Amino acid sequence: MSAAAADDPRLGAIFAALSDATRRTVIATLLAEGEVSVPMLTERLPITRQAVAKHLATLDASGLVEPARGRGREVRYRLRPGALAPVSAWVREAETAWDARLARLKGAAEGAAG
Amino acid sequence: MPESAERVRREVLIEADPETVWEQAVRTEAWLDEETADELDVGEGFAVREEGRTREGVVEAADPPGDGRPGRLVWWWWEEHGPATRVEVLVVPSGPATRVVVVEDLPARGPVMAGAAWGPRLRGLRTAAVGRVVVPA
Repeated sequence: MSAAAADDPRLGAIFAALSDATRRTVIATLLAEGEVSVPMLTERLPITRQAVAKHLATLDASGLVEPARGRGREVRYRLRPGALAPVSAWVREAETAWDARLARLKGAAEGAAG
Repeated sequence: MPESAERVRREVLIEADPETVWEQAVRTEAWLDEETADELDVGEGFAVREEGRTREGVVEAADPPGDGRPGRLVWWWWEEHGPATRVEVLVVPSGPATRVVVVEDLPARGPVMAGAAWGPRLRGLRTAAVGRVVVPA
């Protein structure tokens, strides 16, 4: 078995975490602003504080984010460094694989048609 | 994060008619296994080997092209320890040629879990799909 990106044991948890539209928005906010907190996200998203906290817990469990102590008792979250690397690796690998499959298909279909 | 961070989209223009491209894609190229390609039943499970790696999968939709209509083939696949991803292949008439568009991604909605849990889940899906069989024309 090759050391393929799809075999990365972190990938399943990351994909599961990213399958939710709200959690994608949280990640997008983190990429834009660096840190988020429960109060900040509750203000911006049409969901309850409890739901925000649950989404952040899921992202934390997937390894995508980590808590960072903010001012006072407020917990802020930031992207864990390198957390998206398995996703980037999977994308690059899948792109390469499809380029090869489509090139083979083009050759075979044009040969059969010509 | 951009909407497409974990989505791969590739396309190619092929100088052949859509029916020929479809045949080559599902049979000669063996993206699915041979037995699956013969029937292309929705819900059909399959296994493919590519460069020493084995993927299991299940067909979600299979509508061959014809009379100017595009063909559409959708399946899910996964490696033993990897997450399941969804592949959608469109075979679209483009003048005398054919455009093939492939999108592979994780589902935008719905229950997604680590690959290990997908096998039984998708075999259930296969059972549920019985009665909605699509046979190539």
